[in-house]
Amino acid sequence: MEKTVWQRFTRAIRKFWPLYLMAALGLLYLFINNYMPMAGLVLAFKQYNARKGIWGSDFNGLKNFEFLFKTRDAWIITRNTIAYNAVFIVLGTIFSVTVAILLNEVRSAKAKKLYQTVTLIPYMVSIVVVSYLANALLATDNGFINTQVLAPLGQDPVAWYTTPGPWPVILVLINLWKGFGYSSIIYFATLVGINREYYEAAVIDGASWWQQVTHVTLPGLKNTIITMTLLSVGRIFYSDFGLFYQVPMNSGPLYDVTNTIDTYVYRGLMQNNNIGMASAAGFYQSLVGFALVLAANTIVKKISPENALY
Amino acid sequence: MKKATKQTASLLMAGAMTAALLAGCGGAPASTAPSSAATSEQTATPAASQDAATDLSKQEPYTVKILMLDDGNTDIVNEVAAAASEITLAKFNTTIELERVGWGSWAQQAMLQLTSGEKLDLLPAFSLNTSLANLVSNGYIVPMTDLLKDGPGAEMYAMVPEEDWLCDTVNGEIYGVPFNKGKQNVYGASCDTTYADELNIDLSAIKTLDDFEQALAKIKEAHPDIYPMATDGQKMRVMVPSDTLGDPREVVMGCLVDATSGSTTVENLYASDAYRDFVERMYDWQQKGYIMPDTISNTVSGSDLIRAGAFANFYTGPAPDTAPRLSRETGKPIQDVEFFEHYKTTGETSPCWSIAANSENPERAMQVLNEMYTNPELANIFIYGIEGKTYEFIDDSRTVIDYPAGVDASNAGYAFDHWAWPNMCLSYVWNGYPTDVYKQYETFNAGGVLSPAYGFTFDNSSVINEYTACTNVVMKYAEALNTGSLNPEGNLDKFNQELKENGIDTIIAAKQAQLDAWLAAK
Repeated sequence: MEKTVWQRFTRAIRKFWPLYLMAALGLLYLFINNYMPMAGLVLAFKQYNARKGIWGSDFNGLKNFEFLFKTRDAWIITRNTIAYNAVFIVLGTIFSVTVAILLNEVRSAKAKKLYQTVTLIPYMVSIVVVSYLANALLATDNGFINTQVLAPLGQDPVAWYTTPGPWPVILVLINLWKGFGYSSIIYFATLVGINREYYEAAVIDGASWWQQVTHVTLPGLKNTIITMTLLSVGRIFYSDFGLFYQVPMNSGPLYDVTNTIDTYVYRGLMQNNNIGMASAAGFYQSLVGFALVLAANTIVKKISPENALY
Repeated sequence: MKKATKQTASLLMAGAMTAALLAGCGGAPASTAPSSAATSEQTATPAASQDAATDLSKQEPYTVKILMLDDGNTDIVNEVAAAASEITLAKFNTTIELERVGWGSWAQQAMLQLTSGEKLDLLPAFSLNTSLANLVSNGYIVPMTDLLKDGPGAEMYAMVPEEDWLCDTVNGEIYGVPFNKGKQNVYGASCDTTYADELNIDLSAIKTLDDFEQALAKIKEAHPDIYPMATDGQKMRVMVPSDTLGDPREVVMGCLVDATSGSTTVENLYASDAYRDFVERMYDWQQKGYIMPDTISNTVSGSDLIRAGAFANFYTGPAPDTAPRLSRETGKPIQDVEFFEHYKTTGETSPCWSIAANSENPERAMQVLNEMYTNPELANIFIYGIEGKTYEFIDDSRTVIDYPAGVDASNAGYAFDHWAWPNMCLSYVWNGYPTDVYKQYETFNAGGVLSPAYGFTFDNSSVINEYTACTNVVMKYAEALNTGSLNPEGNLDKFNQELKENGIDTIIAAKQAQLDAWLAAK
């Protein structure tokens, strides 16, 4: 049996060697960049000492993890991280799919190119620049909203950077604005691949535009949506550091609504440079992410097995 | 033959010494390092240094890699290293390799080099976002007591006051050579004298924050359209003369609230009356329009705000000569006012030059460090670079320097931070400073009150979880309170309540216990 597998493998290599060669480089990259550093996870359980090195340092059990749970803010940072990401996933998907469908309806090739480019620009903008754009809107004394919107309406100016209330909305809007262009292109690429004959058949059957969308387009997108969502779920315990640190300008009074696991760890360890604790935080995040991906995939498998990742 | 034997011998001795050092010799019984090699070689150590001292230029070739903060153009930095090597090669057969890292990435780059195991011999243990005790407990730097006392650093060891060495001592071992810079805690404000002259304000009569507030009121009245009080970006220095016991001034977990009173009770700064008074005053200033609104999103530095028309900016510093520097930076005539008596704390003295654990030969590194501290020629090469290129003499006695024609801070290619090199007092005087500036430093450093905890360093490893949690709480409230953006009423109590819930009392108890033990041992 083993021999036949091996034989099949060598035959495949002989036959498809250019493809394997192309894949080899990618695999090598994955191995060096994603697998080799995994050994460093051992640091999460050690009291790191540079003179003893990664392997020589003493183990200290789960002590490095304690700081993540020993704070009164543990609940707040976990809630913020997960809730924001959940909202980002749901709204982001709805928004990008809508945009992709609308893009697909645009007939002029030139206009299509233009819209694609324009929606992609925010994705390319550095988050630091975004934070200054937001500041131009939100600054208390000369921001656009206070001087051009609220003042003409006779409203008092709002000190945005010390008022936590509106920030969940602001952060969600910025995240949508920044991210939708990129994911809508992925959905759009899938849409282009849907066989036109389905639409023609639907039209002949007398389907309206809306019925075409719900019966042809969305089922065609289902696979991509599930894959993209599963990938996002895997990172639900990570937050976009720039969005939660740079955009609110690291403003203290906003921490209740902007503090996430990543910003908490960054602020807490900035004074300590404790490698063990930083690794512990990363390890904890990826472990929970992994568990959630497994769970989500199991659910998908139950509902529609052909769409599960594995 | 004879030469070869000698070389082998000195190499062996140097090796033995290194091993002994790495093993943490010098009678520290609680050392965590492996001690197997220590016993037999400890005895060889003094002999080695004496032997080697006789003929240092015949040592094996060695390269000392120095990492230094602030910008330097690679070509000029290499030229500086070559010029420095000329001296060290002749004396120690040692080549200098120099690397400079800009402020923006200094902490990150330096920590990366310390953690990665890359070759590194000497660096200033300063502004690394971590304490000396943490650098030691992580094993990033090596003890140097023996290298100083009866090794190649002996000359330098004698030049630094004994109590200053205590500030860089962790677990009974010295881990760094303190910068020979200003070592006092000075609390004050840098003021633009044009406003004072215009409104007949006598700056020299300002001795307290109340006096200062009156000046602000006058200026605001005459110039209602400006915010006379600047902030440093989002930060306002806290004018409470405390000894933070090794914590950075921005995040204080337990301190001696009044360092000059002689009290050794560790207290929560943020729960103290002095702090409440300060933040209430700042909130008041904010309401009166002395401080700009929205400081929380301000990214402009204090000196830039003064350049743009603000009257003053608080400073907390170790030196008596910030005014000439700030004048140069802002292009305005600057005069300092001070609010409190000078005093000395571990925090201002402890910035030091350390030997990285990645150094293959700490003894050779120490030879160079000692030379940097004692040899004016070498010190000036490192501090000011290449004559004619990055600086030139403007007087015949060759003591006062300035930029060469056509060169300024923006294109010199080699940043001057004389205070961050081992011994600033060996360096030439920059044009605009008094010619006896280093004499002034001497008098300045000699005065002042010693904090009762002078020399004490807190090791936070036992309370690291509480420390991390409380750091987050401080960051949440302190900046907004310090700049008057947040009303202290209610918020200050909430701040202290959250600190309590996250265990600040545990930190303070640990700090008090360590301080008491340290005082008892003293």
